[in-house]
Amino acid sequence: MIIAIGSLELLALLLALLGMWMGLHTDEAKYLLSIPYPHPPAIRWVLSLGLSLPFHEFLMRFVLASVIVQSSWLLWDLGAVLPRERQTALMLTWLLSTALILQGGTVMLAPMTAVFGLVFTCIALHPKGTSHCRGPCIGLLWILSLFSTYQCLLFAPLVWSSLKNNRPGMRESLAYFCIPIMLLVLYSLAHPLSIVSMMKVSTQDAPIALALRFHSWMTIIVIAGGGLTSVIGLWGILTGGRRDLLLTLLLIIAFIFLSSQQYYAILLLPLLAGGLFLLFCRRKVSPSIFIPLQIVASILVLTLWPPMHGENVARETLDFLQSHNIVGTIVIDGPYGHEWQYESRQPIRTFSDGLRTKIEEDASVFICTKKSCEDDIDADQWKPLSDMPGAWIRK
Amino acid sequence: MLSLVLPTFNEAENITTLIEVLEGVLQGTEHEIIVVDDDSPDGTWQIAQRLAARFPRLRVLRRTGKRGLSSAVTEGFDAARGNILAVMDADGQHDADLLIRLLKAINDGADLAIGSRYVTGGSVGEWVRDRRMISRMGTLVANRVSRVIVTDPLGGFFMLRASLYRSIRHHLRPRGFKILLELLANVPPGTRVQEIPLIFRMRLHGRSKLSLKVQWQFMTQVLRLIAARIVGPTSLGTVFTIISCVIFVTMLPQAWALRLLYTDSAIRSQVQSALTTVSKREGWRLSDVTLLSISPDHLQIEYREHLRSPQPSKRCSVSFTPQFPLTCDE
Repeated sequence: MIIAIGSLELLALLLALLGMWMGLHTDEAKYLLSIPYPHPPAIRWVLSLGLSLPFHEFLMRFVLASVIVQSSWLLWDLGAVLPRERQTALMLTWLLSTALILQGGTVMLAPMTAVFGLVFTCIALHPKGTSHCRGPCIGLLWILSLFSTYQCLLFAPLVWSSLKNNRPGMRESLAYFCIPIMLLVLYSLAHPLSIVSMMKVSTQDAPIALALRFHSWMTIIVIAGGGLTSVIGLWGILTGGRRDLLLTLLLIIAFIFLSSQQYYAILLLPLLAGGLFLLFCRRKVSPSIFIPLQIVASILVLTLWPPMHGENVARETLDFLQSHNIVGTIVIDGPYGHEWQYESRQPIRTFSDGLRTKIEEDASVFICTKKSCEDDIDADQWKPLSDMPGAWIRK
Repeated sequence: MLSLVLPTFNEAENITTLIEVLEGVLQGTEHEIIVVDDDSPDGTWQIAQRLAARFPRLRVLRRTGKRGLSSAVTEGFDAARGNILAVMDADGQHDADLLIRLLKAINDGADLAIGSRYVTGGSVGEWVRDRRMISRMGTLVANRVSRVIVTDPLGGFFMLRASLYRSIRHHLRPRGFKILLELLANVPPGTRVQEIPLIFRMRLHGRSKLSLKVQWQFMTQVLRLIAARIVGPTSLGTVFTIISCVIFVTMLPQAWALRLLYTDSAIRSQVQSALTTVSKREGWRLSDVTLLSISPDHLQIEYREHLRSPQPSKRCSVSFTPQFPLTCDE
């Protein structure tokens, strides 16, 4: 057991290092800074702890990766009714999936949503009344998940069946199911910019052509389970006779169709693992064939959609300014992500034609992130930094 | 019918004698004997299977890849057909004659009958002093988590009604060796328990399985049961209620302060214009702004620059006049 936990921590460490190599993305910086939009505060608040520590980003990557890989024990527990070989295969499904390898080391909320999804899948699939998490426990998990990410709402059918499966009365089940949703609605009404932001994110792919969107949708499904688990897991869901799994699958697939971000692949993973569990229960899949094939399929899918190395221009630029003791407000002209805020120790302002003159006058650095800023910058007042293209300092 | 479960691991030398003795003792009682073997390397399950040909009321469950006395017992209980369930050690330390007295106790109205080494008339036999002391300490600790206080909650010889077992089955976490403790920690209030004196004997053959690992498993079981008592369904329900109330009480005034945004479309477009104008003028990102309250003539916002170095937030007011003037308390 200790060796298994240690090995999983080693995997978490590798995933965190991979995440560092992939670079800091704008959404990751947003969660690390606990910027309040679009998601509610539960997890982003935890992520923002120790913000001033120099290794904060790596620490949080490692913590999240640990949570994600160690949550495979839930599948181990669910598979206790299976022979050891199938139980191991079920756990490995989670660990070997392409989505986990690509997303495990990121500081995104999609993997955490997947962990909550896995919790609810496992509770729902436990033989009737045998889960240790019952009414109030499910209610608490439900409230925690909803106050972590809005996407957890997609797992509502599984939450409802978990409550029904664990035999509290109808009124009790309704209370544990509905109160968290009503509180989330209240939170959203108190933070209207969350709704605006969420709508913006969810419908950002609306203008994309249908064929292209279908292609991304298929890609996401393949990445979710590394190809093989995607197919077998879907087969398990479709033939397993579990309406809760099927309904959740439909909700997630519809959501991914609307907002086809590749990182949403991991949302499908708990369901695919659930589908595989159903097949293992019916002895439809042989684990001795499944595990090697899954490894090969994951490697293949990773070759087709490899993790991409990301340059952190914000860190390079801002480290350069800091090393040259250039302090004061930074004005950025052009689109920029939250990583600029995360890397900066100085106030940042967005340049626009309507920017107050006083702010422009007080700024000590001007950074251009678009093709050209020649029209916006006054050459009499600013001089370009020769070692840092796109950055100007006051003359 | 009585279903007697015998969990076994490396009991090849004891199993034949024990089954013969049991069949003799239970003659005249409708019963079945279920041997649950954890794939013993000494072939206990093979011997038991051969015995099953002689004794048709003997069933053998061979478990592969799993190990543990408690889970073997629950697996045996799950497979049992009887309305009364019993378990005893297969190493000859338990006196098979006691089964009849345990059965009588159940027939007389007890829900659970325990063979106790510490009740008057019972004994731990020839145990050395250290083992007696460990057992006494274990009993003291175990009684802290039992719902029914008994003199010997760590024993392995007991009988109970199948209906009682089924009613608490989903609460049990059968790990380690102490299945009786697991049952006692989960029985409903009002469960009738009777203790029958048991004289513990030395094992006939083989080695004792009491190891440091078993003691460690016992400690973790006790800690888990204590935690389960603290974080039981009732207390989790209370936590759920408190958290829900706190969120409700915190969010309701905030949502109420913004009600005009949802009820008045003119105000909504004013807010939109005000936020766009002010954020452009100040160079703010909209994601750093939080709406606090809205009145017919102005808007209250909080601006917090999200950087890694601590940045104090400031509260500002924006009037709904053409220039959307901004006043902030720094």
